[in-house]
Amino acid sequence: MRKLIVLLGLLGGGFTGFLLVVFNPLVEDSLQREIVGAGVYRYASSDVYGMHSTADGLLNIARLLRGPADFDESAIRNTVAAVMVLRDSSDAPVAFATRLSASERNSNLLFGEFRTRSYWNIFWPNRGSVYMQSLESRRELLHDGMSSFLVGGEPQAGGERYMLTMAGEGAGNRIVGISGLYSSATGHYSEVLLNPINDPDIQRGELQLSIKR
Amino acid sequence: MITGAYFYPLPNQLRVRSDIEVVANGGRKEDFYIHLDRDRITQAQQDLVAAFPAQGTHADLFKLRNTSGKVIGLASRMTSLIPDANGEFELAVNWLLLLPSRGSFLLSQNPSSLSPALAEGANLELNIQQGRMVVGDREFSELAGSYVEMPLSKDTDGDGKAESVLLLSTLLVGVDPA
Repeated sequence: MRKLIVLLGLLGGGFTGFLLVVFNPLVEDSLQREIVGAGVYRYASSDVYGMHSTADGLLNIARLLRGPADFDESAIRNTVAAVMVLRDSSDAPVAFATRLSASERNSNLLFGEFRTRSYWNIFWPNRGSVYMQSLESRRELLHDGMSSFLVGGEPQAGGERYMLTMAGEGAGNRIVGISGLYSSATGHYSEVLLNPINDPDIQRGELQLSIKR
Repeated sequence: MITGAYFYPLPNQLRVRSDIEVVANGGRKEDFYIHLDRDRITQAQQDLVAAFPAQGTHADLFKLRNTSGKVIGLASRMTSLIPDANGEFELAVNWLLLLPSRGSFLLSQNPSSLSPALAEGANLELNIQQGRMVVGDREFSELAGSYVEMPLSKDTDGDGKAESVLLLSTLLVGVDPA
């Protein structure tokens, strides 16, 4: 009996410590603010392949729970590739984009780093194209996923909008013009994930682009 | 617990050996390969064609291999018509390459960027295209240069059967960040 109590104590202590690390209130990511007056584009894409952005994926245990991911090659195992059509406020398709993302190298659980780096190429047909990149934080997604697992309910503690894009110089957030009418464009952007848990087969999001041409 | 959290294996990126060849002018040549059937991730044609029925709008996702045939990253290829300086429309091609342990860079090509020899000559019959590296980050942040896109037919498995392979050959040199 005493051994059982000791074992339960160890397991309980370990689990509590794990939760303290994951929900560490001393660690906070600096996120980009929503950009007022920006060009706003929404997407809803099922053409998303690779690592899961769910709690198990972020904690690197998705392969144990769900089996091999879309990409089984070791060099691209922790990446995501997507194609999406971007729509304006009247839901008209105005651009299309590809996004390639990779989990940030040397992320550390102790410091609450659940980060990816994303690269975009956006084409406005008959107009031109831009390149975009930024560091992203997925802590809110992880926290909501964990909360949902522990206490049940819909994982929406952060609301239905999850700001992914990080702020600050280290995030490297930038837009670079590539061709056509955007060939000399510069700027920055924000990406907000919309209802990410409700339908895991479709990724919905919103891009807010602040572009100077 | 603190030690365990510090060493917990979150998703990380495996560094794969880079097959880079140093060339005489101080630049670096690196070739990337795409096996057109098995490395294609998606074409996303249905959504795109429905949204943009105009000719030339296209997006592909691929896995990217090094000279040894090992998968080392991802690539996207996008095409669309865009206006040139004279307001006339031409087909533009963008390649976005991601090597997770090294960084990312974008290659861009449009018909007016072709050299006169390529624009006039027989090489177009082989569908060789060329362009320039526009922007990159991390390992590629202070590099600039050019690339050639060339379809090949290679016996990649050694079974005597040729496979369609796309070669992206990059020639990059260091630039002064200032």
